[in-house]
Amino acid sequence: MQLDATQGRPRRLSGEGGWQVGGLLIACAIALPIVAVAWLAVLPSENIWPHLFETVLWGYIDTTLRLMLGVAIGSVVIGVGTAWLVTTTEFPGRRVFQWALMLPLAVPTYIVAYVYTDLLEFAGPVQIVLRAMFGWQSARDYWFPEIRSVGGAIVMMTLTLYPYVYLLSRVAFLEQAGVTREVSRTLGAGPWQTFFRVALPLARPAVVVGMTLALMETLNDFGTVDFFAVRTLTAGVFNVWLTMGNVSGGAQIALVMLGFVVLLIMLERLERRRRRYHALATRHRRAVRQRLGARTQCAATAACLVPVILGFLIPGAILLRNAVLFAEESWSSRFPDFAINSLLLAGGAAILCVVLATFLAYAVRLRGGAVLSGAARVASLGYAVPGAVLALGILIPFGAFDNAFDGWMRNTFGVSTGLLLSGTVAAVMFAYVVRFFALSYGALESGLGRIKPSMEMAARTLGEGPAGTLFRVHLPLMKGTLLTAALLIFVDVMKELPATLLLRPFNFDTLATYVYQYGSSEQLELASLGALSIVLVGLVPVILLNRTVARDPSEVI
Amino acid sequence: MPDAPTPVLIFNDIRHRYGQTVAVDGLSMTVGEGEVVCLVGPSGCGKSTTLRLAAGLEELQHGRVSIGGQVVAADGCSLPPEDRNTGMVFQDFALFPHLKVIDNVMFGVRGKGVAEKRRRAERILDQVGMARYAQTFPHELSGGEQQRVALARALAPRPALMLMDEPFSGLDTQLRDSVRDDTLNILAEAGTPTLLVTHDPGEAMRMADRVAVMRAGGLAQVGPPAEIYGAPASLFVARFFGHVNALSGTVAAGSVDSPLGRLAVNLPELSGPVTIGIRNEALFLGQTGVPATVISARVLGPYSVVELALADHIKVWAHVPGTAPPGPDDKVNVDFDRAQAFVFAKE
Repeated sequence: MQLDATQGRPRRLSGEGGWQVGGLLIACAIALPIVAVAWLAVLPSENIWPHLFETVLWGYIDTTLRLMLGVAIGSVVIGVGTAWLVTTTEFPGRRVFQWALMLPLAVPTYIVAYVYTDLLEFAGPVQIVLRAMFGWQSARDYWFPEIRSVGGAIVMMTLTLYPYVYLLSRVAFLEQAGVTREVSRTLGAGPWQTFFRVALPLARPAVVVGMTLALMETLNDFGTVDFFAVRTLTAGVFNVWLTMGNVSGGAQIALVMLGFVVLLIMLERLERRRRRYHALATRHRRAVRQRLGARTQCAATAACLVPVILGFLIPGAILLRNAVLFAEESWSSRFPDFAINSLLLAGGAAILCVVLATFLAYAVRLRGGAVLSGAARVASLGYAVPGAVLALGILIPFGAFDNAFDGWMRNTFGVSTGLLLSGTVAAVMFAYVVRFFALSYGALESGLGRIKPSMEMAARTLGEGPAGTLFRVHLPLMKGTLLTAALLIFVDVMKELPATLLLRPFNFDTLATYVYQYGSSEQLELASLGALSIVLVGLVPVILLNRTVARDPSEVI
Repeated sequence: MPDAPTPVLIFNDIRHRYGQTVAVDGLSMTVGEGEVVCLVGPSGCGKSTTLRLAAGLEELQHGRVSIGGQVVAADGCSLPPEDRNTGMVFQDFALFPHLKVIDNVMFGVRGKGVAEKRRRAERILDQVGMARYAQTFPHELSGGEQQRVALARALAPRPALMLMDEPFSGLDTQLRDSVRDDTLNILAEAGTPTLLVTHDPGEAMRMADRVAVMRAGGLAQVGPPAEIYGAPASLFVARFFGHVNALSGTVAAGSVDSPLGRLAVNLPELSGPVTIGIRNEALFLGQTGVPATVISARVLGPYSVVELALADHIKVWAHVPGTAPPGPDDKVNVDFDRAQAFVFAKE
């Protein structure tokens, strides 16, 4: 029996090396802005750290901390409370509130800020009515909370960001077997005790993850804090960079923000890992809902009604009214142009993100390895980086490249190429991809994970290489995931403000920047069509998320 | 013995480890033209790894693999699975859920045009008896039907070698035998050499032309089923294919005295303390042999299992035919068929 076959070696061809290289390139490109900010802040052209410390930095930090604390408390109280009510008890309107409580997610914070300022400021309808009713003449005759303050900003942000906490808490409560709560009751703990000693601790990781998401959005916000003259770190970046013309100073403030971001990310990752131990593996029948007393039921309904009214119905109604009343003015103030800009950018970014994420996620699945997975994780950090920081991190290398290239061209050919990359749509798109890559990557990672490995192995033994398997097997099976990811990115790009403001080309506006311009100059009516479009588009992820929670809660995180 | 068939798959001193764990340790074997070889062994013995190395789903670390006369993996270089011309059937069948049955089967067929591919797919579907399901989707089929489609899909591209990874363990027990027989017929008709991995010794005996018993990364014995069962090379192999009583004894002058009686040993290399393996069905109750007391007896259907106590508190089990075994504490005589008794060096 021959055991020694013909001599010779097979040609080395696994076809998978290209994926690894490509994946690394993508991950590095996306990580570039973050590295750039750190670089510039550490090696500034002029060192203004001492000056910053003496003057504005502490103020920025203090304000930011107060804002974050307020939003954290507010969003947790509202989010967890309503999630608990809606998941475990029965009261009038519960079925509607289940999905309605997520609606404020569709309204960007700055739009809510414009609406309520119009409504509640001295010259606004509410105070006019109050003065008429009580005969007050001037501001000295009565006290009315000033909406343009840190407190006002906290309220605005809480109203639009609590849905993050609500959604994740709801998922957590749904995943907890109702049996756990029933056991707790039979052991003598009343409903309040069960909540605080059993349900809440079990749900804590999800609550914390939701809270960190809300806080990241708080850090990121520019429209609201700018309008309210609340000096947060983001406002500081804009101020020092644009108004004072000091890029290094802006970068240094951005570095401080990155410190906050790192802490938030660490907190989120820690709790996500804990969540794996907290989530129960078995699926039980839903527990019987708690019956509440009549008065408690009214309180519950009211508690759920307030966030929905304040966070969505009032802003929505006002925007709708303005859009109808001022339709012509809105339209003629270049609304169609901006709408097209927004749609093109959002569509382009969505497609780009999904394509890149598919490549990277598949490369990680094919080759694995610490380097590639690590790079993918770094590339997924963009969602936590505030838009202003991102913009800095992009303009710096782009600007440096442009200057260097221009200098070289002038020396070699006597031709000035000017700005090639900075201030172009490419820069804006790059910012969107970096910021929203995590969305598509996370979705694709879990989508690919749901496909059985034997499926790919079968395709490979049937003669398809890695690329062929991706196109003939994986992608057709993930159509839903791809579409969802693209939609979520589309919506987020439409709402994005800080990075767009900083990076857009001259005379180029999106719906978001257009709403910002008119809103911040108190002419919101003229931009109401734009604002309304943004909110309508923002309803899409709310619907999608609702369907996901209803079908399979564990898919949400 | 007839001439051994020309080898199609050759494993030459294969070694493979996952981190610190050695999965395959110096394995060499072949699968010849038209043969069905079953690779069988307990879980964790390395049989699935061996199969994956043949398919190219693992990178070969040491040794050489050749298929159809061409070296496909050697010295850290491996041909990827798509270039190896092997067909594989998986434990969970892995049918593509988004494709109809006919499209599943056409997936790997390389041909001039769609019409030609479709003809080939239809022909092979007919061979497995699934022609009328061509337009259905996999989730509408039963387990046995899915298995047949998986087989057709793997055979459609006319591979040089078939690899099967526990292809029947996903089926109902009652269904398995008929599906196994059908599969054997299809493979014989196609004439494709097959390496089938299973943890079920009965399946190996039923399906294989040759059985390769694996243990802890290496081969314990390779041979036709009759040889594996009738002349096991070790107690492990003997135990794997049936219940065996293991007794101790000492070889002296060409024979050994076991608690059940004397046994002639004509293997000169064996001497001193040995282990004697006697199959449960080799024992019979009657007039001859040694005295024993019945401890318990259970009727299992085809036979009854009787637990017996011999002198020196040694326990043996016997499989006796019939449904009326002796009762507890009965005194009987037990003897054994020398042809089903084996002597091994003490491990």
